[in-house]
Amino acid sequence: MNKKKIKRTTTVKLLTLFVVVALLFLNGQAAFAVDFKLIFSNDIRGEIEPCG
Amino acid sequence: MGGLSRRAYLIKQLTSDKNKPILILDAGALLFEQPVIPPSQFAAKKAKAEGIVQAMQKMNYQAIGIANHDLAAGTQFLKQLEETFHVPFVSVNLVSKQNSELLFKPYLIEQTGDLSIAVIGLTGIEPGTLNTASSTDYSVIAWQKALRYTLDEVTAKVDMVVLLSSFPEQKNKEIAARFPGIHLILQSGHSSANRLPKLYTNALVTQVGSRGKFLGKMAINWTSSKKWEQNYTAQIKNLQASLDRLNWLIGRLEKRYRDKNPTEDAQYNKLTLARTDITSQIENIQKEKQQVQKQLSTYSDTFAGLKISLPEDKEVLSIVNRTKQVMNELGRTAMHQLKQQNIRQQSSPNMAGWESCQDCHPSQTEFWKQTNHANALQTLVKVKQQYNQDCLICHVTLPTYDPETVMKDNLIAGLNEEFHNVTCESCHGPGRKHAAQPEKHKPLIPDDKTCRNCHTPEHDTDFDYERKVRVICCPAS
Repeated sequence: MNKKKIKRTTTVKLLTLFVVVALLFLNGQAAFAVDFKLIFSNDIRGEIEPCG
Repeated sequence: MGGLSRRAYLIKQLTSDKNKPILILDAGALLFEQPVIPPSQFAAKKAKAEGIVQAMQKMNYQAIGIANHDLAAGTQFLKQLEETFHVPFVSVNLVSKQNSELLFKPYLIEQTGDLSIAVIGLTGIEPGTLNTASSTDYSVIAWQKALRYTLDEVTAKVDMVVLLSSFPEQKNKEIAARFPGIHLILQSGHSSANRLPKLYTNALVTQVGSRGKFLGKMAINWTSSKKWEQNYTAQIKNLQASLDRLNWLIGRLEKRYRDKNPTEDAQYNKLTLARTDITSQIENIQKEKQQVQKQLSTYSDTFAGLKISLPEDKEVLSIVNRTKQVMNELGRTAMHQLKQQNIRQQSSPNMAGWESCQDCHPSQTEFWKQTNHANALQTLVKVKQQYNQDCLICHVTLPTYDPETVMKDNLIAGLNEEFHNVTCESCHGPGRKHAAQPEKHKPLIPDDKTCRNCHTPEHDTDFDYERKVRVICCPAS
């Protein structure tokens, strides 16, 4: 009986630990903030050199 | 301002800071001035397009959108450029007429630092509106369908979605509303001026002014919220404007009811209720904004002018110079063919030619022959550009100097020799009517604006109208 109780308690503890770790991991993964530079152009329309 | 070699120099400067990852994109309308190219200019324009693409490849552009104008030489030409120079054209809605398959990659996924960004191309043509000869090899899928399928495919895979669209702003606003998974729209083809980023639903829409005089730059902090901070700022601003108007209306009513109780007025009660409601909305949005403040994405933006004073990148400059030489040779071949076919351009039924002016204005004509205008074409011969139609426009006499009209109406090809150089009608306008009835039809008196059609800062750094007109102005009769 004691052995079964110990086994169940250990399993519950391990499961709880797993869930907490997974949550922490996922939480850490989901959030991000990244700096980057965007350089863009459009409508060059064939102007290889300034034409006024 | 402008020029590919200065663009290349500026991009090199901006990308020299390796601390931040960089994304370089072009939204299209890159290769041609017009959606249709006159046959006599076909070879030269295609050669120029090759030069441009080669230069863009040197600048490490990561994706290039395709606008209507870019299809002037057909989709097969674009595919050849793509294969030869490994440039990344993207379009989600151009398909083959034969088998309805996409002609280009609909999108690219760029890894920019830790972000993965989908860059989707959208060619701004609605199905059923194609009417050019070059549309024989392609047709267009409706953007609603094309974007839906593509966004279903990419949204889960990426952190941010950028659209390169050559639709006008009103359509891009509609696209942003229908597809809130698009975060940034770079627009092309519909404005001559720079357009600051404007938020529509969840997408910022922006574009650079036309003809390559500016480069757009944004420093973006993109977060997992996938929303712009401006979402909240814009909402609060709109509500605040409504609140200000309500306060003004309520104040007016309270003045009117100075000694009486305004709450007896139904209109007053309605306005105060609305005020309470809007105030509460503003407070809620501000609370929500505070909670998510740190998580919202932000940006700063500038438009960098490609000034003449900027140095030129040597590698790209050599591509530009080589391209100009090729264009000149092809222009020479085209003009020679026209001559052989004895096709003489009637530049305009209203033009007279300088020899007609000589009959009544001999002293003015003799004066003109001594000026630089009379040898304008020779200046192109010296730099071997006398057959390059892009340059010729300001070294010959035309009824208009609007480049679009000149190109569209093919005014330069086969031009009669009496219109070579800058002659009387360049300054005084078409003169046939004046030659026929001098008193009834007076010639134009040129002004500063007339001269600046050609004496632009890019071609004349020293132009001072008051000083130069004294040198060039013909003596009075």
